[in-house]
Amino acid sequence: MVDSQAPSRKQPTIERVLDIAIAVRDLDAAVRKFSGILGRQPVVLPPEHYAYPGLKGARFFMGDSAISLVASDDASSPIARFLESRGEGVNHISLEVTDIEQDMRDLANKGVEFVSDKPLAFSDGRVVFAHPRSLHGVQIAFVELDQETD
Amino acid sequence: MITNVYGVNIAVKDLDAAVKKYSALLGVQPEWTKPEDFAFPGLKGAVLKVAGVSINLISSNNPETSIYKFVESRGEGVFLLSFQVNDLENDMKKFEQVGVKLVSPTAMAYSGGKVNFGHPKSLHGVQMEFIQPSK
Repeated sequence: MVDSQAPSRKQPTIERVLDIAIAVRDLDAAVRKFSGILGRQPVVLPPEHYAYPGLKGARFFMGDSAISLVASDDASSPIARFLESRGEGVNHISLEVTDIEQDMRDLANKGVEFVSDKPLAFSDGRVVFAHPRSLHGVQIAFVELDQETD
Repeated sequence: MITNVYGVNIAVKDLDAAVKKYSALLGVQPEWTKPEDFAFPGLKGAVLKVAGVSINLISSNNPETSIYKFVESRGEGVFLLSFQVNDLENDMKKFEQVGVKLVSPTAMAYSGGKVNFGHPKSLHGVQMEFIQPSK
């Protein structure tokens, strides 16, 4: 239902913490360790999954959230540069949104700076990364998932 | 075993500024954390709950705290990931078997239940907290 008289929405719609992504050097070693800790097996994320080239990973689904491991053999990738400068650790947190263009405008109004003007496509939908300097040192990815078809 | 992602702890310099920004972007009101709700002294913080996951913003003016040291050496950012477990003592043994170095040999009590921490050196750079909330 559309009400043309309704004021434009100002509050971003953050649905959930979709994923926490950890940058690692040795993906196989990290998968072994995290499988043991988390007590479950991951789904492999191939390079085609990602919005940026040169990445590979694995995801452990945990209820409505997930923990991902991401590695890179490409020295120019954002993950390789993160590993180079900061070492292994949490790279970003993904939050699910429902209307990424509108949410980008609403988030920008709250002082969030994005690394690209537009969302980028990846295998599950679209994503835009916010710069950590606008988020107290945390890189946040805002993700709009494609509608599930089953 | 680990049952779910309990929260993400973010170390910040200016707690009020961080709470203002995250509250606005997440669209949720903060719950202020009392000093006695932390397992360690010298911390203050607020919790923003997003669909069952707690985003914890934490700051400290006390140079002895790990939060203060973290911000000094690495700047603001994700400090720790928190997981809920259902049998902490037994889970600690399993974590050690897969190579996790625990910060304390025994579970520590805090106002919300029992907790122990995994050292980031044994966890690919991620400090982890394992929490068993009291019923």
